Amino acid sequence: MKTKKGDFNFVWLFAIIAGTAFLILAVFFAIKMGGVFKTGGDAEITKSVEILADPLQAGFAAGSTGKITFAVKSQINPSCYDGGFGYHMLSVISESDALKNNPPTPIEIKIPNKYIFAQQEFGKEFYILSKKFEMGFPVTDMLFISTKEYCLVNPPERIKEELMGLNIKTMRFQDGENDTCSADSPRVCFGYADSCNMTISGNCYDSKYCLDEFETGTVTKEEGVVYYAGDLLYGAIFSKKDLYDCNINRLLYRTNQIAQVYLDKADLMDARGCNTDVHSNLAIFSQLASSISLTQLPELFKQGKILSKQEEVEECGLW
Amino acid sequence: MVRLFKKAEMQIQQMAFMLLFVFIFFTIAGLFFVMFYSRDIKAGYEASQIDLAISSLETIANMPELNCDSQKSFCLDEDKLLVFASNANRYKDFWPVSYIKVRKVYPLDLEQIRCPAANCTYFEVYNSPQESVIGRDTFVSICKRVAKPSGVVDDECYIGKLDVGVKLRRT
Repeated sequence: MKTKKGDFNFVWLFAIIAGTAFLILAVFFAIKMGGVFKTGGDAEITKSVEILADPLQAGFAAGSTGKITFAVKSQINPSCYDGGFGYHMLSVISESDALKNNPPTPIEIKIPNKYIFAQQEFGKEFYILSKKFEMGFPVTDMLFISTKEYCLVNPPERIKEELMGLNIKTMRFQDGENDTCSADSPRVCFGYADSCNMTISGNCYDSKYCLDEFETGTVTKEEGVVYYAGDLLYGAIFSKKDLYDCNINRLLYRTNQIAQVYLDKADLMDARGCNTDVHSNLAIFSQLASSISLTQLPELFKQGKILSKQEEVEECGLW
Repeated sequence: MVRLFKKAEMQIQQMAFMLLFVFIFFTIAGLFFVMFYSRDIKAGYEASQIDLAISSLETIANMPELNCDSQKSFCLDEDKLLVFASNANRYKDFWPVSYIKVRKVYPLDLEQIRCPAANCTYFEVYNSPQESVIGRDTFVSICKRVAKPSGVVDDECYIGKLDVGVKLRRT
């Protein structure tokens, strides 16, 4: 009887130890595999964001818009690296992951040919505005990604009409005609106004080259003053200064490279009797694009417009 | 006493074998699961790379570096193609794909001559030495602006194919 009792205890002891060990192992692997599934899912989302952004390139339209919706509150991080053409390391992280004590390292995807200006905010719905970057000739498309609402105070008619036409829900307006702003959205003021989070000062006064005063200028915000030209205004509003500056360096490098392609093309055209007078000015412009500081951006923009007007009257156009 | 000891020993052995079989069973099941899941990941990666190749066709055809006019879609500038074919390394860190090749396909009697050369018909814009690459292509116009003897400037165009490749597998 005593022995049987001993046998019974021994078997149960083994069963309990083995069972516990298997349960612990199963839970451990389930957690690990869950992490792998999640990482795989995050990588897939990031890749999808990259591919989804492709059809949004403005192409030959003045601008286009799109929307990305996430199942959970997430943030799009387009870390920017300049030097040559530069690149983005794009990642998407959910709010729940970001709030952890040791947040997981997000999967990053390298994107060398896009210029993304994004608000680094958490949200479920992200609006994408695609606009052309032109410096006398078309250079590329820029993508502006926003999830937070902004209140544009006294915007020029050009900007107001365009944004209202594109129906971007994160852009609200406050002027003599409209007031659709909510109380808690940051105020972006064109010229002087009360309680502004950002102030835009236009400096484009030459009616020969400027659509309005605010086509070039500065945006003053908490991080300091940033210079903009043309549609870079949206980048200056949406993105942090380091992301903005990095993208400007990349854009100027690309502008210079395209100018070099046009210079080579001009030589080929000259050789078959299709002459161009833009050659020397384009060479000067290319030199300027490769050496200017960011504060001279409005000046380069103006030189680009002069170059563009010169090219328009050419019979064998370069672009 | 000896009989009892043998019985306990027998049960330990039974338990040890049981544990071993259960361990082997779970290991094999786990391996199948990992294999199945990794195949799923691989298929997902390949599908997204093919999507990338298809979307890259339009993106690359409309880039100002190659297109003939910002107002025309899927139109490549022959002069720009020649510039890149003469120096394929100038944009090597930039292209989001493994290779970009363009060839004239019409008129049909065109001999495939690699550029730069006289009357060339095949432009290798970029080619990185990578294995396991899948390509997708599309028809494009290949145009250049010429001044005719009469003094009229006109576009001279051919039908061509733009071929873009992406890496299919991570190595």
